Amino acid sequence: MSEAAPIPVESAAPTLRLRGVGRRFGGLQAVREVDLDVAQGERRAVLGPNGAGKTTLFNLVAGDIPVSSGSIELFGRDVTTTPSRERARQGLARTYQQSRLFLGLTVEDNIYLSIIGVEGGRLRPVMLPAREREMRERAREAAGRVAISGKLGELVGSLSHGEHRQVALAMALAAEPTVLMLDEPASGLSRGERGLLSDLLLGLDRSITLILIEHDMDIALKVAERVTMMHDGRVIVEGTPAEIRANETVHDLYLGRGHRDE
Amino acid sequence: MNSAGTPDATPLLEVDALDAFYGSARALEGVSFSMGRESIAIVGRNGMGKTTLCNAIMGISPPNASGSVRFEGHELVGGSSHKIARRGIGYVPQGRRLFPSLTVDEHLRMAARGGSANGGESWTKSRVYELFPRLAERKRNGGAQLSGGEQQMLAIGRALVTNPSLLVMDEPSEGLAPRIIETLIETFKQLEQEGLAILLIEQNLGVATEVAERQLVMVAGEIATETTAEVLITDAELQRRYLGVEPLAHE
Repeated sequence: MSEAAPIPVESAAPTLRLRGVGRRFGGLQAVREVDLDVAQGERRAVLGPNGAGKTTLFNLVAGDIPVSSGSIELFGRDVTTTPSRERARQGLARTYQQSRLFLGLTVEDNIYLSIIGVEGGRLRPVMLPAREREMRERAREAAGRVAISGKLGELVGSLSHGEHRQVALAMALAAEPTVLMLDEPASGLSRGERGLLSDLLLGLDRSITLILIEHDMDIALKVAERVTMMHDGRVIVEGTPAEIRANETVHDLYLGRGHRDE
Repeated sequence: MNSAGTPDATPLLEVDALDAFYGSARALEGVSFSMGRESIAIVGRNGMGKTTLCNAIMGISPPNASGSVRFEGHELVGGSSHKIARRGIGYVPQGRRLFPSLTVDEHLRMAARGGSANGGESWTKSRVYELFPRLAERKRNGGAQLSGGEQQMLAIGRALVTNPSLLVMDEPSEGLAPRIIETLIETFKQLEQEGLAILLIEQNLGVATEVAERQLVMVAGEIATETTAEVLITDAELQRRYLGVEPLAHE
């Protein structure tokens, strides 16, 4: 290529921009014509009934599956066909509903590997001791942020489901992402652990853009500044948490009787 | 605790001095409680042994549980899990455990067992579809094509159509939208009134305290205390002590 890659300088360009994004699985149109703009540093919640297409949308943004139609821009660049690994290197980290971990490795090693994954990209036989120490330290620090420090040396396979969720979150944080996508981070956590999660999310640095799928409204509507409501693969409402609470359609489809204006 | 809710002397489920190990690590230590045809909730932080307790009751794992679990007077410890299920215990495991290639409808047909163990209206496929209309819309989709929440609905429906007299559920509300959780709470309350016993493990304290009056708190493989829904939901100190993230004081 003779031209230098364009450098995104416009601060107005959203961190994430979706236009007409769709995804079909055989006869099922899981995501339809989704337009979405998420600004740098924004806290966005994606809500919707079960089966609305939220996780599929995350999979499309992360590049885990290709779109059937439409385009995705990350930091002002088109990443529609960019592999997930490359999107991760650009600063996008996500967690999954069902944690994907190395069960035969310790908590610390799992987090450590997630740092290597975004940094070096491969395990080298020899690593500078200082570099190794720094990455280990980062792994332990991330474990502390999700209150799993007490289990650093334990095999992940011996931990409970909820603890797996904590490790997965630590792995996403340790990657020091600029866009953090969390898929139901509160599920499987006790009330105390949810309190910690909500403090953690509220305290996230503003350099991080947060996109959150969450059914725990105490967390979602407290953390989010804007809410995107999906139904049947479409975005049907977008607004502030207050607007979402006041919206009748949202209550009918999703919230039920609870969570009316507070 | 008196057992005022159960006029007959034999409790429905009686767990006595139940121990369980993973290798040499003790996961359950002397767990004892009993319940009649009522709902009880087991709450606690992550990694305290709640799921292990469910699995030990169902004869799934760990294989070397010792102590006693009696259901309607029959000893379950040492029994195989399919026989335990056939005695009338329905199980909604954590992580759903569905068959990826079977459709929603096939899951329900396969699990269905006629009759009602408790004299209430019996659970059929169509009653499950009434409870979860979303499942009816997806009845021809395979387990692998369902979203997380849809899988959870199916796991609950699959346990209901066995028409159990005891329903053991490991975080049934996980991944479900708020409106569905409301419906579930109403359904569980109604089931209890019909005489179905529910043993509920729940991290969602709202669900746990709405469904069950009796709340057993697990800490490090033991039942640390039993309290009531009203006390648990209002006592911040109790919550902090047993459900909070501060390290618990070692005895």
